[in-house]
Amino acid sequence: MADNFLLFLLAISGAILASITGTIPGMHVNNLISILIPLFPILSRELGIEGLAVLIVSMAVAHTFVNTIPSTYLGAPDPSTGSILPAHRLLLMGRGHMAVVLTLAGSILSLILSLMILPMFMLVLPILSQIIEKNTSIVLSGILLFLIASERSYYRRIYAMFIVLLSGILGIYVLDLGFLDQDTALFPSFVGLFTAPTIIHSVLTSGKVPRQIIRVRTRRKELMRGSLAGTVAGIISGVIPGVSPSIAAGLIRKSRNEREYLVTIGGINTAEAMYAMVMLYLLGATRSGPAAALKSIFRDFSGDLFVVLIGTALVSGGLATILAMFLSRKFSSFVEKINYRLVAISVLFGLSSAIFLISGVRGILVEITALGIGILPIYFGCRRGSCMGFLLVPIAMRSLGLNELILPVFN
Amino acid sequence: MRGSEKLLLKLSLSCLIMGLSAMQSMGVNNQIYVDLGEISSELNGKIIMTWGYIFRAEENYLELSDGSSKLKVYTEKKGRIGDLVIASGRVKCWEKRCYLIPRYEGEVQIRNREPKKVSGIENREVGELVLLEAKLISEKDYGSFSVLRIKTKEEEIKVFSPKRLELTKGRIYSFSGLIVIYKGEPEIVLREVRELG
Repeated sequence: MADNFLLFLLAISGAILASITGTIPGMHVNNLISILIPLFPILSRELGIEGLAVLIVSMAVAHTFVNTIPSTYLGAPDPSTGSILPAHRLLLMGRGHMAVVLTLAGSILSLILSLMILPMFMLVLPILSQIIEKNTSIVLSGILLFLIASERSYYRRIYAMFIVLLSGILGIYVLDLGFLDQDTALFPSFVGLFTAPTIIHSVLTSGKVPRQIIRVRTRRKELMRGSLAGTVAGIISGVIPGVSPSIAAGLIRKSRNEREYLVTIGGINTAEAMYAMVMLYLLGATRSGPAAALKSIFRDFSGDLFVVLIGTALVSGGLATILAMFLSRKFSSFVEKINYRLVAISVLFGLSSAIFLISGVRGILVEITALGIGILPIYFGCRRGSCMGFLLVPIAMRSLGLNELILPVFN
Repeated sequence: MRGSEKLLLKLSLSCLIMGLSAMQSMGVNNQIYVDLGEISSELNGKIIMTWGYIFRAEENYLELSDGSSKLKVYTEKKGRIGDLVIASGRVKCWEKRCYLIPRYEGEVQIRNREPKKVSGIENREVGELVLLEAKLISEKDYGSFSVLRIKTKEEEIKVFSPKRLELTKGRIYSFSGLIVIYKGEPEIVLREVRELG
């Protein structure tokens, strides 16, 4: 194995690198990994495969910390997170830095909590995962029903059902009928379902960004409640296939206020990244892009390496928190001077260009269709997790064995 | 910097320290690489990494050989004679015999190998997995294993079979197995035997 000091340096480098890429609006960690994949042969030769694994984990964890900055200041969320509207609302109240600090607190507390839960989790996971695997269709159908039923009014439940259905049909076309290449199908779909509607909504509704106040008000109770909820939701998302962080956020109980909600959102992303790694180590299952990348370089995952990667996650999370706080202060100092609408539209244009380059005209078509669906929850006032019918409906159909019946109809 | 940010800073520094000590204590450097032949009771309790070819594959262990030395690795993983195994774990020695106990199944990596077709083993290297056609000269049964003598066009070869076989003398078979050194002489540890014609 590579020298410990080199591994430590790589953990720090990964956190710094992700702190730069994490500020790029709409940049998901999977995109980052897919950019790195062609470099894997060179990197593994130069750094050793353990070194490469440390770099991947460090970047994946740090990304979950830093991506709160473009979410808050530019209104462009990480596609898998879904809603950041509370953070953006705080920005418009001059409290952008507070939104970032709350999300970071959620992330770092969740990192610590998820490690504390880990020994107990390792005992129950083999049984739990067998139950989930045998009953995937029931679990996913149950989640879908819960997402719909937990809407606050009768009308919203009907709207949510409609959105699940529409996004499910889009999922069938894109994922099952191969409208897009499987490797790149998620990027245009998620940008359309989550990122673009948020940007458009914030461009249409937000006024001028006011001067930011660098003062943070939190209650320890809120931090604890939010991070615990975030950790539980993140674990659910990391363990059950097809359950994204935004679905998991919808499954846990409603946060009492915006501050607690932001702590929860930060916690979910980090706990999900951690438990995707745990699932890889314990069961060899890939639940995230970085986990799939790790699996592609390791035939087997040793216990020593797992502990080193846990250490990497801690180092990376610790450093990313400090870097993100620093970046947030910098952003706060000039965000009111920039033309927010111009930046937001440029971000949307940049993302669409990236989709066109990766998936061509078909990618743009999927993005526009997904945008039409993704904008609905904002205007109907229901949870944006309903759009995750995009993933849940095709997976549930597959596990129910309904594909052979339904796919010919759509074809 | 106010209270919440100070708290975050403290948590970050704690994470950095915990992470660094986890990386250091697990000590990827503590694991030393040792050749199979160098494993002795001096290494008792140490964590090592080694490699060898499967010499015997049983339900709960694989016996590895590098051609001249042997080592039992306790694992549930399945492999075939001649497959290359890279294993790490803790060395346990008892009455001058040492075993390797992997801490996790992931510490045993098996690389499947296919045999190379040859006509004799005289100029072959120890550890090679070979396939040859030969006539069975004799078979001596030792209960749980048997020792065969076979003859190719080029030479007469001793074959160790970890299982008892019931073959017919004078018939031609294809034998695949691993070349090892036993008491200074090369022999084949049988992986598979098939009757020809």
